[in-house]
Amino acid sequence: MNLRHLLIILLAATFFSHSFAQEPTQSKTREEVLNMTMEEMSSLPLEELMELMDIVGVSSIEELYDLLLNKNVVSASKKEESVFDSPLSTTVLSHDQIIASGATCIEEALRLVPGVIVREKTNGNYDVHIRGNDNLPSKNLLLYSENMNTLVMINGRPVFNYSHGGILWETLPVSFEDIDRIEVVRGPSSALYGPNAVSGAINIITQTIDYNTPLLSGNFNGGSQNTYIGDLALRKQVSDKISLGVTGNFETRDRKTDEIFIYSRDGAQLSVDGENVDDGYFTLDEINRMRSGEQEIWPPYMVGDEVYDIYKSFPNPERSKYRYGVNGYLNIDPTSQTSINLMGGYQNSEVMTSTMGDVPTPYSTKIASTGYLDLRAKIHDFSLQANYNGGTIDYMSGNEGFELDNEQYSFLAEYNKTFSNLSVRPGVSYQSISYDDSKHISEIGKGYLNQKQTINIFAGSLRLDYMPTERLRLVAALRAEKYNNMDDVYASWQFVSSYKLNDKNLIRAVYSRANQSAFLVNTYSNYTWNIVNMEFPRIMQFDGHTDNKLKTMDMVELGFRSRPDKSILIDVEAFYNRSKDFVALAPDMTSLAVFNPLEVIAETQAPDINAIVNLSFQNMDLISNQLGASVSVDWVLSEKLMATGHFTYQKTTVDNYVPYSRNEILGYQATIAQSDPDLMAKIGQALVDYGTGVATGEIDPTQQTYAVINSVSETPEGEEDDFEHKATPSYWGSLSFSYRPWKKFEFFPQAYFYGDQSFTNQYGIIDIEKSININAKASYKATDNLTFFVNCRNLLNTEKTQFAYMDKIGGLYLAGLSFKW
Amino acid sequence: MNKNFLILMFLLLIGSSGKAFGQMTKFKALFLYNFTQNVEWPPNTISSKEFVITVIGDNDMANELKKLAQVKKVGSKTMVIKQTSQVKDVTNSHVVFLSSNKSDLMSRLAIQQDGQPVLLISSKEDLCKDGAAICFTTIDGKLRYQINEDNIIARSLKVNNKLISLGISTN
Repeated sequence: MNLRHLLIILLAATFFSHSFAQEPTQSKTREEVLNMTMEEMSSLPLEELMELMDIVGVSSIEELYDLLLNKNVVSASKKEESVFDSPLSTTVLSHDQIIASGATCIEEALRLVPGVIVREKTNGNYDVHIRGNDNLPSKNLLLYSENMNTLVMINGRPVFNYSHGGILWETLPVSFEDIDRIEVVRGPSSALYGPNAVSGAINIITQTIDYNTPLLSGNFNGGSQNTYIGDLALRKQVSDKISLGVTGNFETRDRKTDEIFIYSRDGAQLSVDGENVDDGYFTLDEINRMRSGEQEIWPPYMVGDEVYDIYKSFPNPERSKYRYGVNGYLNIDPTSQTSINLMGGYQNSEVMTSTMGDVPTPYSTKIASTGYLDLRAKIHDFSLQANYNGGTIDYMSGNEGFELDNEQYSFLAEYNKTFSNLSVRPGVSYQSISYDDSKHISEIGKGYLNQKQTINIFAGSLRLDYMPTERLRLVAALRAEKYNNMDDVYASWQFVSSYKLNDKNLIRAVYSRANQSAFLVNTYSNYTWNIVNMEFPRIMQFDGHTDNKLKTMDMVELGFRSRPDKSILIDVEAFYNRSKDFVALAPDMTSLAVFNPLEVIAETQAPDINAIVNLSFQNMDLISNQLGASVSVDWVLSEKLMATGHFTYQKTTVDNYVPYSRNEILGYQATIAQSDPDLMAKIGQALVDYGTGVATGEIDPTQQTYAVINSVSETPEGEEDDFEHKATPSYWGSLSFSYRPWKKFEFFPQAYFYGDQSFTNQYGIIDIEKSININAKASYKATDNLTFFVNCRNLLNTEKTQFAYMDKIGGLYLAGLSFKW
Repeated sequence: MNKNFLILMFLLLIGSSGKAFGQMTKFKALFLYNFTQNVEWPPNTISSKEFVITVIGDNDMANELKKLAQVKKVGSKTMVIKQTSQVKDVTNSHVVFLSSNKSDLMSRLAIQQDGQPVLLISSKEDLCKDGAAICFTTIDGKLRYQINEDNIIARSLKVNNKLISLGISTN
């Protein structure tokens, strides 16, 4: 496009913007109102004055200031306050901001939030971490790349995966039409919200239904990669005291391929139909015929009458995401000081994303079907919340033992009393979290839990918010929680001070500690895996520990917030945090055993010697240290142009880093066991002991089919300190604009970028190059009730992997409409 | 392409906010004045000759009100506009307007003015729960106000039904 064309377009845009802006409305034009004197207008009755304001004010710049720069937040102090005054690192994404941005799901919208690193795994499935600290410990399962550090809530109701730890984003039942805003608090926040708010909390606040709420509203869009996303809301305030609503949402997306990646685990030779192949992407049919060495890589097996094979593990390999949800709302305000909010819903989802287990591929299919009921009540200064989440989640479809029923009950009661300059908020809470795999396994022992197991958490909390002067604010939040399976009482806290230098500048300091909860698998695992697709080892035994220490993070943070002009808000935060007491699956012991002892004793076979490995979910010595800073700027340049940007830099180092994978440790132990100078004698003794045991009835040969020769629990030396952890990019950020050349048109381009990263799991190291993702949405507001748009995600179709081992993410081109009546 | 041309292009692109700029503050001042026509203060409680409006932390609002004070009275009383940046300096006022920047001080202001016949108005929405009588808000680009009748009556003020009905009740 040459300069002359550009100039013509700009002049045309300016002409149209003024033409639209000067549309006459009612009896007076906007220009006429703007020319009225104060005296004239002050003589008018209020209702006429309001009409004049309506003519003038619709898109005034002050409104943009309010929408972008003067947002309110609840989650930082559990009371409504201006984001500028928030004592913690806080960001609020409003509904309008999310819709304007073109984000296609909640996770993607979080790319607008400072400090949040968001990487797409497969179309519509994302890794989301506040400030990173992800994939710790490394050289382990992909499970530890899940975000176990952030508590996601819907109206304060935890939606967290307590079985393994992590967030199952696709199981959130709500969508954009439900959401009023998303509040993100960065930094340890267990003292406010309980366990797992380690790196922060994300609170999704649903819309208040009032007389201004449209009766019917919705968004629909569809486009490439068979992507269709929509939601619909029907809501009404039926009287001054009662409002109700129902919402529904759906989402379906495809991948660009129906093939999945197969590892060459520890160098084993892969072959298909006898032809050697390297690791890479294969169809399900090829994998069904594939061997790893001599073993079938994905052998089918029976559970009852059901065949578990590759096709059950990946029922829809071409599809990345399918989900739908429905929600119901009932709000009753019996008096001005009392409110009751009841919310319930159901969701169903199936996604293809990174695995949480140890299979020959980094992919798994997760299938979930869950429901919830949430009751919130406020009676004068008391607030109560009670909720239930439950349903069935299959974390790895087609793998026996990973399908669990869950029931979670939470109860929270708090009382808030405000004196002149002191606010006191004591509270008690109780959580009971049960998972049960017994209905989904063929026999006891085939699951991790093999029965219903429960974690109970009882907690007391106190928050003091004191303003000794009009500028100085001191906050102390304390929480103590007791678990049913640990003797320790876990304490978390926040100590915050903020000082307003003047109305335009605020400085603040935070010292806080938060902890993870116990997870069911970490605590109660008792699982025996008879391995059929690897040559070594033969059996893996997984155990949990009820006395594991809980992971904790301590953080010191300094913040500066400035509004040098009313059109701009700058937020700077510098943080240092230290995490310890990580819990992860790690080897305890490797034992050599004869797996055909009766046949050897009968001298019909040579000894079949292989290994039995004992692993457990145990505390690691690992310590993570992270130093970083985030800067964000929101700037209303004019009525037509707003800019928002954020940038985060961080460096993570780890102490007591074990530079060995699970299999390397097991290999080390097996080598020692095999090098035992008395090995032959011990084999003989093991067979004698086994034979004697069978003869005396002490050993049931149908239950214990092997004779243990020797065991080794030593681990290799070489822990490292100050090891740089590169799973989180050293920098990332976003720059976006909202440009409205005229009233009916909005253009929202966004660039999301991150630096190099290096991801390590037990099967390799994946380097991911720095990248920039360009997104853009253009909206045309045909009427007050109807908007059409086109929406491009990854506009440049970069086809790059954003997360280790996962899909290359291409461009997504959508068109759609949103409406309200 | 020279620098001036780039600047010109940028200004064309972002557009000028023109006369609309500052209208919100002007209308808030007009609304506030109109509120005083629809609220009744107990007789002889503060000053018999002056009607005192204190603005905390908002010079623009104070200036708009001062313009109004030059041409308007509240009943027979002369409008006097006081400005301060601190709640502790607020004394003997009929109306107190709290800026958005100071919204964290609403509770403190309400308690400091406990029992006083004063109309507390906030520039920011949703502060009625902290003691404000009226809070400005914007809905779909339109200036509106939230009103809490209980907070008004508790200060021995009388409010007419029109003011209640045109606002968004938070009772």
